[in-house]
Amino acid sequence: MKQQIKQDESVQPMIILQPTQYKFMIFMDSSLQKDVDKLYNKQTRQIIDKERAEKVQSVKDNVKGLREIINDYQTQQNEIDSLKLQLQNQIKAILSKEQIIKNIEDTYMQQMEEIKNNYEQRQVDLVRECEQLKLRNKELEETNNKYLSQNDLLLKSNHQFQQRVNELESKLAKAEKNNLMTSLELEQMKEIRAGALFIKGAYNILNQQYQDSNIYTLLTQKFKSTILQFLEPKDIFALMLTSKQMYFIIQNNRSLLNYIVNYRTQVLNKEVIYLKKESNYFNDMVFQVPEEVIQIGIAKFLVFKFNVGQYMNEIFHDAFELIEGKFQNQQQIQQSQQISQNDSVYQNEDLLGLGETDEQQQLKQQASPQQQNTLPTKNKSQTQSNNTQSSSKNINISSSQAQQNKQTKSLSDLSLQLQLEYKDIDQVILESLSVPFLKAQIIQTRRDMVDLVKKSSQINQQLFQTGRKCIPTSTYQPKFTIQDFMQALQMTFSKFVAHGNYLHLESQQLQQVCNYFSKLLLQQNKQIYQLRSIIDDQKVELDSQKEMKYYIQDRANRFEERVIKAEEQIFTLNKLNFDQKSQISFLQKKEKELEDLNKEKEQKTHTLFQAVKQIKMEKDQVEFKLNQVLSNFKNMKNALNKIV
Amino acid sequence: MKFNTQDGQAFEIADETLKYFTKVCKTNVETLNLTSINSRIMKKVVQYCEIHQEDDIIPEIQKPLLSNNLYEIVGFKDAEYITNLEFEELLHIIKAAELLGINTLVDLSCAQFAIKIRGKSPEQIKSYLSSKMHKTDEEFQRQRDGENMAKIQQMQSSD
Repeated sequence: MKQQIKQDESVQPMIILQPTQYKFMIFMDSSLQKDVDKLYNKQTRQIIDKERAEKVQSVKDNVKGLREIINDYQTQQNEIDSLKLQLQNQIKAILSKEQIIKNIEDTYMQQMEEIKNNYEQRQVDLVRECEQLKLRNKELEETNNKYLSQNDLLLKSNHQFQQRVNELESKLAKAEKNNLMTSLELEQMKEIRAGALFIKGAYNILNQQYQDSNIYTLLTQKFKSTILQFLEPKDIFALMLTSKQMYFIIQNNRSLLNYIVNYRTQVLNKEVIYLKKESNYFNDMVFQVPEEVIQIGIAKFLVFKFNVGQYMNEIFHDAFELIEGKFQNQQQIQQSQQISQNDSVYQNEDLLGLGETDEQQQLKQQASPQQQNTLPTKNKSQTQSNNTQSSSKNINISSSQAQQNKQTKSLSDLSLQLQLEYKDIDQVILESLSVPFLKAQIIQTRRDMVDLVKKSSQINQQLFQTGRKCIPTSTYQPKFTIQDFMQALQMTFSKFVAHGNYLHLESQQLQQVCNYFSKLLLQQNKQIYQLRSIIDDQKVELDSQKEMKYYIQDRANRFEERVIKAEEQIFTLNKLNFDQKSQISFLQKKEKELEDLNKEKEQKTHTLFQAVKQIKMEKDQVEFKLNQVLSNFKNMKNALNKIV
Repeated sequence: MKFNTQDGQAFEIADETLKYFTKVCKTNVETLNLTSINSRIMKKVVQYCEIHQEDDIIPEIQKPLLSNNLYEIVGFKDAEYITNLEFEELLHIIKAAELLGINTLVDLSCAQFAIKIRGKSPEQIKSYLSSKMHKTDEEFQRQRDGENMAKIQQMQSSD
């Protein structure tokens, strides 16, 4: 404005008047105008100065006020900044706390999850284990029940078996009672049975003693009959004489004895047939040939007769040794010896080896081997001497009689030797066997047979004497001719044959009796064996059942122990489960506590958030106020600028 | 049919051979344990049955024996078979044959045994049996050693 005015003064001023000033501009001249202008300028200057002063004063006041406001604002701003800083620090602290809380929460959550998982897993495992244990327990109970049922069954079966055994024993007792109740025959059978049992016992003892030796076991078993059937009696006798055991074994075989008796009977029958033939031949010879030939025939007949006697003697001897001899006591033997010694007629009884005293036996035993060895040669020499006698027609009967006596003696020695060999075996048998019923019968039969032999020998002797008397010599003429002698001889022979037949019948009867009693014995033995085998089987079964029972009881005890152990395990597991549950509850409590703490923390954080919010609000308010102040300040600045 | 012997060896017997096992052939048992027969004896028994595998009838041996020469009594095969056996084997074969029901083998073995005794004096029989039966301790030990060796070999072969 001042510049514009200065320009107007220098140059013709172009006054630009204000509308109000136009009124004066029209009517005034330039000088006036100049004065007026001067005045006006003065006035305006004064006014402006006044206004300016006022305005400056007001501006100054305003500036002062503004400065105060600015100072206030700055102080407020500083306060706000400080508050801001505090807030920021607080926010930072809160944030860090939040972070820590979050971290704690995270770790806590992780731990919780882990604990939960572990707990769940453990719970599942425990449930499974419990189920398994329950199943195992059930299985064990089932097996235990099974074994108990089996045990019951076994006990029942055991009881049944015991009942059966008792029944069998009662049956056996009844059978024995029945046996006792029956008649004399049964008593005899019982005696036989006792004897058989005794023999069986003795046999068992011997069997045990010789079981190592196969041959004896072989011969005591069923093969003996098979083996012995292949042998002839002489071989069997030879086998018998090998040892006492063999003798005992073969002697106890009744079928074998029957076989021997039959065989001997057959041989005897054959001999009788042969003798018949020979007697026929002898008869023919008697009627056809001269005296010397008759002498040969007589000698031959005597030899054959003697042979028959020898066979008979052997049979009786065998029968005596095998069947009856064992029952013969020493007194009877002595009596018979005395009788035989006293009775001169029974000279041939020596053939049986009974008529000898011990001294005689010893003497003959010493002489017997030599005589035994010389026996065949003597027989030969006998025939030879007979031949020579016949050729010389001088019949030396006394020498033939001596030879016959020698033969008789040699045979008696042979039988004696055999008897001595059997003697020690007989002693064993005498002790082992005692069957009175059979004994009496066999003794009677044997006596009859011995009488028969004696009679036959008597007849033979008479025959021989008569025959000798019938032979004429230079000084002696016989009353009876040779024809008479032949008739007598035929009669004697027929008697002899009759005796032989009687003997055969007797032997058959004896055989039948033996068979009958052997059958009875066999039946008894079979019954006893069956009963014993049944009892043994039952005992074996009972023992096996008992063993089974003990085994099952042992198993049951073991199972009980196992069940107890399982129960203990269940108990420990339950205890563990309980501990786990308590731990879980403890953890749950902790969890709750942590949750509570978490809640508290949340509340705290919430309150903090609220506080932060309030601070933010306050801050916003302060900022808003500051903005207002700033806007006011700007407005004032603008206004000042405007004013300026 | 299968047979297990005392020493654990198994024998498969065909039906053609099994017909002589009269005590066993009619049973339905598939396997039979023979606790009293060892493999050596069982082999001999089976050998006898195989010898007569094609024979319809085995003739019975006459009793009592008429000769000491077994070749005159039984067929050549049987005589050759039985005379080659030792005394102890013979006894075991009698038992085994009886157990299995081979009656013809029992008869044949008994006949062989009877021939050994036939015609001999008691002293001769005694000396024959005693020489056969009484073994010395060394012989028993040798027999035991042999059996043990056989068992060990069987174990090794089975392994």
